[in-house]
Amino acid sequence: MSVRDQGQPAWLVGPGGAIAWLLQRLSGFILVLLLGTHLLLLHYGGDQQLVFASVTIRLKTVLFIIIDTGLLASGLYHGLNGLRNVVLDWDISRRAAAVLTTVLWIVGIFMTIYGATALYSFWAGRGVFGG
Amino acid sequence: MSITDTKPQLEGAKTVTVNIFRYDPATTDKPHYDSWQVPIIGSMTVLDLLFHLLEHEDGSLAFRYACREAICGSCALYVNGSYRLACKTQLKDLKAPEINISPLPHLKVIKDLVVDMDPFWEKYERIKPYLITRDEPPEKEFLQDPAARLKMDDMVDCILCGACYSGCPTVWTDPDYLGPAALVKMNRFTVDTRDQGNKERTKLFDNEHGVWRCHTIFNCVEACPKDINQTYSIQHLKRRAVARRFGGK
Ligand code: HEM
Ligand code: SF4
Ligand code: FES
Repeated sequence: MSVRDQGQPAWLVGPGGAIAWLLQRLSGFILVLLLGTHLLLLHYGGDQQLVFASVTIRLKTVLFIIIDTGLLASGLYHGLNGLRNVVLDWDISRRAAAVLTTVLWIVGIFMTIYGATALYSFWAGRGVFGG
Repeated sequence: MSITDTKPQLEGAKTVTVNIFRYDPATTDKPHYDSWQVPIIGSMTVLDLLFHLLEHEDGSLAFRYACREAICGSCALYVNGSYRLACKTQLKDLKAPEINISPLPHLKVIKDLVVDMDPFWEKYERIKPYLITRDEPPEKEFLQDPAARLKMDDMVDCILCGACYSGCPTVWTDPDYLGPAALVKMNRFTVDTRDQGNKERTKLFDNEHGVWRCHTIFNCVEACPKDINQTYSIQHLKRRAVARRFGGK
């Protein structure tokens, strides 16, 4: 069969990951900024001790909440999509790829919500779990 | 007269130890290396060395070549840990007391230094490596200005030797991955101002066995005897695929 008249060949698994690639780059870029800020503020900046009072104050500050939520979401997207990239390198079937992507999205969304509940526990003076 | 009787008398000539990968799937032999002492004559190339062995040591040694001038891409081998064209590599430039010659790694060996290039060619065919036009052909030739031609300057140098393909870790794990050479050719037509096949080409590279399997490892760039930057071409295709998602051409 000449290439000119071939139909949809079996290897053509797509449409491809253009958006996933773009988001991997964007989340990587966001990670540089947010990880940098995170490390500077938490590990090198100030004389804040890691005690309940200081953590409570931090988690009531809008800027921290924004930075930490961004870090949580971009880190999760980046890490999980990175994992997807690694697994896809093993020429898995189209079906397995779709299952993998769905599972990773579910895991990602669940972990984002779970992480956010921890971040927002002191927001507006009360814990999400009522604490 | 045995073939060794015609061996050139090279008293005092500098010699080098050569270890060559040998394997013949038709026999029960296991893959192994054969070693010989070979005189270094003038500006002898690795290909000259193989001919020397073929004529004077072992007439059954299998290797590929055609042009002997770095243009046909037949003679790519793995020499002392690097991808090289046998015809373009002079022994003295290797600057090594021993020379180890193997076939292109990660490809099926047919015999000795000859590998099965079928998967490479099959993927090359997949990307439609020819000019696609829709309009009526011009009266004379297709015109292209020097600036437009310059954009494909490095890509048209590809001699399809397969070194990049053999050296790409994604090719090793994903047998359907198009590989660097095919993607360079894809980019060559994508940037060609005369080509009108962008739409049908895009779905051939914007898929999970296309550009998205490239993780910018740069092994291809390191392997290429023509100094082509395959990674640049692949990244260009990625940006183009993203642009198309947002309505670009
Ligand atoms: C400084 C922050 C970071 C930057 C700039 C960054 C950048 C990147 C980029 C550009 C890629 C895409 C590589 C490709 O083209 O395939 C990538 C892949 C990946 N990243 Fe990150 N990254 C960062 C942090 C992280 C973190 C914190 C994790 C772990 C959660 C991570 C895990 C991964 C994984 C697993 C891959 C997939 C590997 C691959 O596709 O080759 N990265 N990263
Ligand atoms: S891009 Fe370079 S290494 Fe790859 S096939 Fe072409 S000439 Fe050979
Ligand atoms: S024999 Fe043609 S490239 Fe070496």
